[in-house]
Amino acid sequence: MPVTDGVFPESKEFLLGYWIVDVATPERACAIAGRISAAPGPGGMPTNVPIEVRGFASYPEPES
Amino acid sequence: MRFILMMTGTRANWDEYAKWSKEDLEQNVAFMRAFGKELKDSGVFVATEGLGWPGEAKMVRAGKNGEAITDGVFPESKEFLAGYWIIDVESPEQAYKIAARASAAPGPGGKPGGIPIEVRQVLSGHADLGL
Repeated sequence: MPVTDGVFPESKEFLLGYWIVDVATPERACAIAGRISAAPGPGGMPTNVPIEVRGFASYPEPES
Repeated sequence: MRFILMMTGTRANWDEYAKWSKEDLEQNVAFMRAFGKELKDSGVFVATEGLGWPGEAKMVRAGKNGEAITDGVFPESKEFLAGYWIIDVESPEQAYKIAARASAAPGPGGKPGGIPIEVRQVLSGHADLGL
């Protein structure tokens, strides 16, 4: 059976959410990420939360 | 209940992966394809993706005028997402079992990789946040 002890270091960054976008360039993806980072937080101020931008690999599709 | 199963690795892990033999890679890919089919056949499959190399990752923050600032530097110890599966199952325990299957994917020499798989519940929407 799997081990499910789930101990994470205090410093671990947990994924909160993500968006998948299909764009022509990495720059366009980063511009969109900048918009997300500007989402309002407490008092309506931009959160400036860092958004990690990654490309997709050409990974094998599941057999159908 | 929807869950996301995440495979992550540091840059060092990715560097090791880059040295795998063609046979080892083929064996791993064959496993992943069969694993995806198994998830589809059992009706729990929602989505899966593999991500590009960490060297191409960017960290973006909004500047004062909302412009994208991409000067972020990643610490050596940072764990990068390598790929994920989203599954729709009846219980967390079922998700853990499936995660264990993914963790057993063959590595070098065909031995089970034993990669840790982070399992998280996927919220259905803002209603889950009481909004």
